[in-house]
Amino acid sequence: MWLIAVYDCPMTTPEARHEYTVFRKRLLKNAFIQVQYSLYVRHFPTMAAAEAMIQRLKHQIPSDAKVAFMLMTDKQYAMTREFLGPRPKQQRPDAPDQIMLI
Amino acid sequence: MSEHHVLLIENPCALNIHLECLKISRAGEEPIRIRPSDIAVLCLHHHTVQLSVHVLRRLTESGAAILVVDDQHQPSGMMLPTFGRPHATVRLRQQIELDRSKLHALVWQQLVSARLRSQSWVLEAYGRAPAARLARLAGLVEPGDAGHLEGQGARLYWDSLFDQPFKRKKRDAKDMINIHLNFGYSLLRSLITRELAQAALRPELGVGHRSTENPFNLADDFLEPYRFLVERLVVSRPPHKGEKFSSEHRRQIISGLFEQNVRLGDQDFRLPAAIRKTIASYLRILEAGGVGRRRKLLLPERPQ
Repeated sequence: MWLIAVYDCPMTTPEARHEYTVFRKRLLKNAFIQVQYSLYVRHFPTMAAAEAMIQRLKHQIPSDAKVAFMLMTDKQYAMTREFLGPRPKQQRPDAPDQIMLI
Repeated sequence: MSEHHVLLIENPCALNIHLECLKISRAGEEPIRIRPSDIAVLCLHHHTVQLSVHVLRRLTESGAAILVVDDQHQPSGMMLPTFGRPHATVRLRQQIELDRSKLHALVWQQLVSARLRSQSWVLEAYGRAPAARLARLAGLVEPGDAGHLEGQGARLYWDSLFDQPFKRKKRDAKDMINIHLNFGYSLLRSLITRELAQAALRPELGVGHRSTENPFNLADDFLEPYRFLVERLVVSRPPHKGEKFSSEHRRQIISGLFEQNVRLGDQDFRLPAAIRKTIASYLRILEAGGVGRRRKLLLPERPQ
């Protein structure tokens, strides 16, 4: 199960920027991977685990921000079609294997 | 908690903690980030991996085992979490209690019997003759394995398991089959030892293994009923002679081990969960002190 977080955060005042940074870091601390500027994804082994993450994050979104958490099955995520410009910098992350050989 | 990733580090890289995640940076590649609480075992298989005490601390705090491997692909050291230790004294007393009572002989009987049964399954699957004899031996095990049926079973088993003449070698093995087996066992043992540590059990105090030089006697006890998983894997894909033990082989063993479901009671479990269940059943025996019917270990049953 993939959890996708997309957001719009106001950045007009220093306080708002600070709140935004805190939220962004919170996503990174929870092992979300940044795919685009305001689009983060993370893989979960079960739907319940993804649901729990949403519950934990939903109280911590910045004021005046708009955040959407979208759930996608592995199959749906695999159907994503992605296009990169002529100098691609990064690729979409894959679901982590249980065994990771590094 | 999804603490089930096994990380095998076989190439030079740097590990550090970044934003509460373990970050693995390799030259020329995107860094990987993983939550420490998702890691079951970190296996350091390359001598130039860089990491700090901070990394070790975070990983052990979240319950991961860290394994250092030598050039023979054998674990040369292991670091285990010590949390969950408030029960440690109680557990130690219970373990000593069990060791003094006759109950430990009954526990060892179950383990040996399960080991013999699992050996007969593997032989049966490959149509080897002594399968029936091993199954019969499994029913004859006495408390404490007084008749040393484990040894008898092992001789029958190793003599007939492979097509080629085979001699089991635990240390400094040079042949591919033994290297494969030893690697698989060591991975299983690290999973078991980690569960023991989390249950605050002392791995030195074994039930049937009582060597004064082995710090993992209890882990070796619980290894017995699970060893067939490794053996079945190696027999199903026998390594060729003269091949090198490559990282691809290691990957095959590890993913093969984790892909198999283990049947306990009437349910299938993934390997780490099955080990946890078995150890939980041992804890129930310890806590009941052998009173009543709580004397049965939950051990792997015939795979479907």
